[in-house]
Amino acid sequence: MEGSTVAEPKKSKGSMAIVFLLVGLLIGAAIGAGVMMVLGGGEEEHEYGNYLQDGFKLELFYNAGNTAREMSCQILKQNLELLNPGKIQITITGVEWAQYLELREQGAMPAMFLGWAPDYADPDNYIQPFYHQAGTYASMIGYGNDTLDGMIEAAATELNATLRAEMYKQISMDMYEECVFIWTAQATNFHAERDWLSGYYFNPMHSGLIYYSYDKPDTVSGVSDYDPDTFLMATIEGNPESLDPAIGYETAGGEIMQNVYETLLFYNGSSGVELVPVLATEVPTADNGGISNNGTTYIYHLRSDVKFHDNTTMTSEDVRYSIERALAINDPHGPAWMLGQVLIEDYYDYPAGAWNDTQDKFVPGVPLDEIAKAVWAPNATTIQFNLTTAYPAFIYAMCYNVASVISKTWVGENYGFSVVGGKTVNKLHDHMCGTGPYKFISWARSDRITMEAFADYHEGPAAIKNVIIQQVSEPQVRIMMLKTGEADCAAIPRDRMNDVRGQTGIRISEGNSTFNIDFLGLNQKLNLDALPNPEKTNVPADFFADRNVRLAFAHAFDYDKYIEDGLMGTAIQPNGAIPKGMFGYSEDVPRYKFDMNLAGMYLYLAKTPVEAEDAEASFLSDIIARVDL
Amino acid sequence: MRLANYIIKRLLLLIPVLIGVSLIIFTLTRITGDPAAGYINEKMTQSQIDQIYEKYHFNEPVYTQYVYWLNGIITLDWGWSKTYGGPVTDAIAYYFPATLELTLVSICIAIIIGIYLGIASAVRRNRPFDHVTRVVSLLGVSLPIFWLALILQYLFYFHFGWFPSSGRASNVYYLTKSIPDITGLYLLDSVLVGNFALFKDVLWHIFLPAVTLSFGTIAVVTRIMRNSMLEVLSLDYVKTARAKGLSERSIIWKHARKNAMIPTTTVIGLSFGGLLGGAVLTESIFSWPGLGRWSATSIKLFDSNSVLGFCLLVAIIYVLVNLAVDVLYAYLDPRVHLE
Repeated sequence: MEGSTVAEPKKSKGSMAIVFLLVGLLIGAAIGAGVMMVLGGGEEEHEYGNYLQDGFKLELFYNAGNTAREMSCQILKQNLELLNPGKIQITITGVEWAQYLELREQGAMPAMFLGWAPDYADPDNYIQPFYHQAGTYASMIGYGNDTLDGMIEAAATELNATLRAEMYKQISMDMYEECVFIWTAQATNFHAERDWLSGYYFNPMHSGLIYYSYDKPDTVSGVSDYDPDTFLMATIEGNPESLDPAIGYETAGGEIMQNVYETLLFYNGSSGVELVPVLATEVPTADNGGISNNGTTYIYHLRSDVKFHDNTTMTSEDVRYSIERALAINDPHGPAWMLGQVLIEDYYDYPAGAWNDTQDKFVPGVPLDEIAKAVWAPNATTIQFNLTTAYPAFIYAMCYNVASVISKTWVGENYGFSVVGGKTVNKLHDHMCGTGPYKFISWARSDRITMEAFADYHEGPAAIKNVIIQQVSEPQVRIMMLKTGEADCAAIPRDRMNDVRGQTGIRISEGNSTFNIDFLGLNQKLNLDALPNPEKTNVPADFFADRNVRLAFAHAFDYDKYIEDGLMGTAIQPNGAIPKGMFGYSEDVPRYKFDMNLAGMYLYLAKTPVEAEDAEASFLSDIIARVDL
Repeated sequence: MRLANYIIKRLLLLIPVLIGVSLIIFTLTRITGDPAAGYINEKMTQSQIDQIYEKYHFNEPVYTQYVYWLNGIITLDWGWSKTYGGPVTDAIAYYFPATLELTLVSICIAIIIGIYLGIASAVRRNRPFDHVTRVVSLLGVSLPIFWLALILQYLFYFHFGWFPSSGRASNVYYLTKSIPDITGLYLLDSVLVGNFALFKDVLWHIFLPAVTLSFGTIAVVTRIMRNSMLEVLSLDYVKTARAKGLSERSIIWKHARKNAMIPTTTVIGLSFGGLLGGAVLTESIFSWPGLGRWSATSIKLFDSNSVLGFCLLVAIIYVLVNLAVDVLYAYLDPRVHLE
């Protein structure tokens, strides 16, 4: 069945147009050549062939163990090679993650399959990294466009939401034409839990579950050892990197933080767009005076009835201190950049904070006077942020864990850092004191994390008293735990979904769009000197700088097959960098179609320098036969 | 005195061995990919990545990196384990007792069952019991351990509900923070604080993984014990004992067993060393927070500090276990002289 989609390519209505186009090109080329000969302009040593006829060799890489990415490579290989068997040669190589990153850093990967998950629900968090030449991925693939950069910067700072949405739509449309990245999949959720639970809802911005929304009945028949007071989550293997909101920047720790700590605002229910006040009394807007007219000042009014888990009352000083602490630590692995990028002038010039033995104290990365310019507390229930530029996404960035409010008195001196036995120790790394519905109890590494409902939670105590998040390595064991009822909920991998679907006592929730996007980056400045296997790649360094080559790859990718077979149907095809469900997404932006006719045509249009004797004009019949016109 | 000298000499030999091991492992971790990979995520900017290289000296020549690392080893700063979420030394102190406890219990099971089966089948040579034992031994060495673990778990957890699915203790002990933090060996700690309910619970949790882990060792111990027992039973002093009219029970369990134990001790010692290095599959299937699972996850995440720390630890364990076996050998067999 492999490759059947290629063997029987879709009959495009544009086939005739393509014939005309090819014939036209040939005639044009012939006339041009004739004119050149007559005018004596045939001084060039090379003529230009095309990648369809001349073929090419290319090595694709994926990180070993990632079967979905491996399958992506296979799909491209099978389809592209069929366009000119023998001459188009794609080699697929699986490399360890470390080597994958190394090759990527060296610019030695012609094409790279990667994924992107959101930090905050704003299109700038997607558009900037991919399309701005200072963005992580744009710079990685050597793409830059000054006009586009201007559009991205304008959209990021535009205060009018309607206008801003239009700007992102325009950028997405332009980028569809440019085809800098190939957007392969936007994952959808798959969630399995026992049917005695109530209160689950999916939000693409949540890290794991929000346990406060859950409830369990007092009794359930037929399940031994049923415990109405405890929620057991059987999750995958992996320890949080840190439980410190200034440092933690992954989902395992993120889940704990989202239940123990709180931010001023958070996402409303299942919405990835709408925000509701949590520790603030209202969402700041221009209308209520919370956002200044120029969009650079944000004022949050705070609740006065919020208690920390150490029973102290939250004030604006705690909020100010929490932000100051994140910027003072300024961990380069961490999420502090989300705040620093718009609160601090020349933020990226500042180093990480560190313990200084000579001074015997923690020396902040971002200087305190710079932080003081950005955040201050006018009174006990008001906190103000001064941005270096208008940035409507700021309000969303402030919903990330890095802006969690921690108890200043509990943290103590030196932002919680001290030296014990000659080693710097961060108290917040494995201890927590927030305002959230659950108190942190214990973290047994590689085993389980336990939390307990906070009796003085400002919205009333959680219905389920205890939460245990247990790491269970084997999917089969997690499935058994869910089936026996030992686990209330379990993380089920895509390839095991059918083991829990339709099972008595198990409820499934699926199909909701996450904001996780898979993509293929096409390197426009390939570092040929760093290729690990130079014999497997013969394209020039600027192979993917040719838009036609990029479009050929985009149309040679069978999106449906990838989503159905590679991702077990748990995804949709995106139409650009901005995921469906996020502000700035537009359904009007088209998607690339899997169309081998178009793939062949674009490869034909893509020019490659060849020796004159190799450039023959007798290939039209081959092309027509091959692309099944 | 001779024994003390021997032990000191062997311990001193540990130094070049460890330097050799560290050189090999360090070089391997540096040639299999960028060591910074474990610290870099997909969202970092170049300036942030540069900071990582600087912080961990990855931008310096490999030999300089080695010196930094070796200096850390000597000063007990083995680096940060990303997988554990803390210093490598803390990670070892946390994971090692879990593995040690599992190993001790499984070795105890293996010794008791293996030695009994070995002796019994030697005594009943070529009788049905011997044949059955032989088949069981064959199964023990040929069954994939992950398969056995899953089968045991399916039967005794999922089907019968007699044993827990995973972990070292029940949730209630974690929620009430009532697991004592003394040695990290929960069985021992629970006895030390007199919490026998916890002792029972831990024993209940360790049973299936320990049985799984002991299966292979039982098979080997049984075979070695049987063969050496047969050899000993044919020796003259056994015949003399029989001629003297000693009871068969006394001959087997008192006179023959001790001599037959000599080769078995070597096998048990080496198995013990191997198991201490971490039983990756058993620990993974029973979600046992031990060295094996930690090392496997560290390798997957290219957490080079953890991998280096783990390898060094295993090298130390092997050398020490070998030393212990040699010393034990001398005790069991007076003909062996330690030099």
